[in-house]
Amino acid sequence: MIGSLKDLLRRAWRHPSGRWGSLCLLALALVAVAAPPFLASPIEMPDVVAGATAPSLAHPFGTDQLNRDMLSRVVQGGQVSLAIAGLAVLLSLTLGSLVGLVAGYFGGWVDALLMRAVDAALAIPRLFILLLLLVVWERIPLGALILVLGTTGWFATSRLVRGEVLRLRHEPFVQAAEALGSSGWRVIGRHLLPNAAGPILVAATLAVGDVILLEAGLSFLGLGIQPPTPSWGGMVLDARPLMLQAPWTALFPGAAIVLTVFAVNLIGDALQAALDPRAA
Amino acid sequence: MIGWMLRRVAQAAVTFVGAILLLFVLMRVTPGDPLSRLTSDRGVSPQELAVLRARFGLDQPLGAQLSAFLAGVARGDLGVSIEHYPEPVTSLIATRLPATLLLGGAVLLLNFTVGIWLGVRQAARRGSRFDRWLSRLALAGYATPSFVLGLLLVALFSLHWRLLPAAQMTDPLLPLGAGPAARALDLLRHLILPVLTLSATSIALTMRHQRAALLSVFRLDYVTAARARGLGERRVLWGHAWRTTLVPMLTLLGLWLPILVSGSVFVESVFNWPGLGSLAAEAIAGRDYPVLLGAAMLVSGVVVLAGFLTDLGYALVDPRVRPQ
Repeated sequence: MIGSLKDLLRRAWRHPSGRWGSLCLLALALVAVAAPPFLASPIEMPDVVAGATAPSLAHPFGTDQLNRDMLSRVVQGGQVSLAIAGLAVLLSLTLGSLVGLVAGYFGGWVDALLMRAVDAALAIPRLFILLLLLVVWERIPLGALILVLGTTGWFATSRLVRGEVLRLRHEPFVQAAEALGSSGWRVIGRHLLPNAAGPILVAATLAVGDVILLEAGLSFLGLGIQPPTPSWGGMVLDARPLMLQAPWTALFPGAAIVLTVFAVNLIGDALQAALDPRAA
Repeated sequence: MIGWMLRRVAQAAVTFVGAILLLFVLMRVTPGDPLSRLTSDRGVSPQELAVLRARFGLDQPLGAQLSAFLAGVARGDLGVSIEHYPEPVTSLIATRLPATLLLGGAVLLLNFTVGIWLGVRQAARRGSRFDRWLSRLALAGYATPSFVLGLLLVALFSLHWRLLPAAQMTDPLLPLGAGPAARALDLLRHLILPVLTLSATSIALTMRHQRAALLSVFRLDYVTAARARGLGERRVLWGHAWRTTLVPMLTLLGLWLPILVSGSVFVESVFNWPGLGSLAAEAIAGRDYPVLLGAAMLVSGVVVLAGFLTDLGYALVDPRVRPQ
């Protein structure tokens, strides 16, 4: 079972999308983690008079409206974005898997109740759930933002996992485990979860891209990451009135979002292709 | 069939009621009440806040608030706006709806024509360079936030080259006596950039879906049989294979809607398009939670309805899905 997961990863790696996507994401993560000590401090002295200056040797990405180094800010924004996306997806994955496993394995009224609730939650677009949660929240702390993003992202995952459990639960090896007297939780943990790992992994990868986009969008609306913590969406928001005079202030954070989400989705694509080769 | 439909309608109703309850809960789980932000943002005094609380019923116990909220929803009364007091939320939404329908309709039209055609071409030339590059382009389109793309298009086409209007739906300088043709042309010019921006994401989805649906049909025997009978490839593709994919393409409706609605919040606020999306964006800026709640409710209703219609479409077209 773990072997099949390894096999899945190997096949995804052989797919050119998978390889390029992983390398690209790895490079981005490496820059986000390792580069800051070598970069100009983003807030040297806020200098409104000098304002935004064009890209130069001293500031390869230029500076923003407060004369802060854009390269440092984009890199720091990347740290925040990747950390938030990773943690939020981890949380929603755990919640979704748990609910899906319980609903699928125990069935009956537990299943009916959980899935009706998931239906209702899926009827509201996630952006609107987040808007309603955040609109009255004064300067949301980062931890709370992760919590909010994580707890609003598991509905589709739980359906997916439930479907996998329903597919697996009448397989001979699951029935054999039950006949041998394994408890429900043991069957779930040892047999169902590992075998559903492939589709969960694909969904998780795509979810990372979605969360990065959502967080950027929320920050663009002023509801996500709060300044002075740099965020890509917030930088685009700041750049909005400067689009003509200082296009680089929007271009670099915008490109960072596209590149990161693109890399993540390439990996998701390759995993999907590895999981179901006929559809590729 | 009638019994199945009744059950499905009941299920949709339960889902919608669940969504409404969830929306109410969402408004109340955040720290503070929906008005508490006004004190810090606007310098509203505690006395004024108390008046506002009473006006919006926030001084009532939670159970009373819930029953008042549900009773209002049942009457079709979504409360009044804070920003545009005493304008009812429903009338605000009604005035903004046409612009969003126009924008969404144009995006769907583009999806149904260009998106589907591209997806079909991709599947027909599976594995070719055309297929691979278009797939990557679609993936890049999907990775681009609509607010970034929108700002970029405005900077290039409106500010730099001065080709297309940057905002709004009509030109304020349009002469009063302009004929319908001039008005239509003006509207069309204003539509181009927002439609392109909003389409970038959804068209990627349409192409992928169409491509995958067609590829799974290509494996079926009847396609092989059609080819074996010596039918031309074009005939096989459009006359036989593609027709079958129309059924799975129905599912797209459910995937599109949330994307279009969420995207329109950003696109409409970037382009100042006077629709629901910019109403929501304004409501965010003004902490106008009744308006936001009303918009979310409308959207959920549409999503539930779309899910129902999709299932109904399936059942009408494909007897295998129809339960006895």
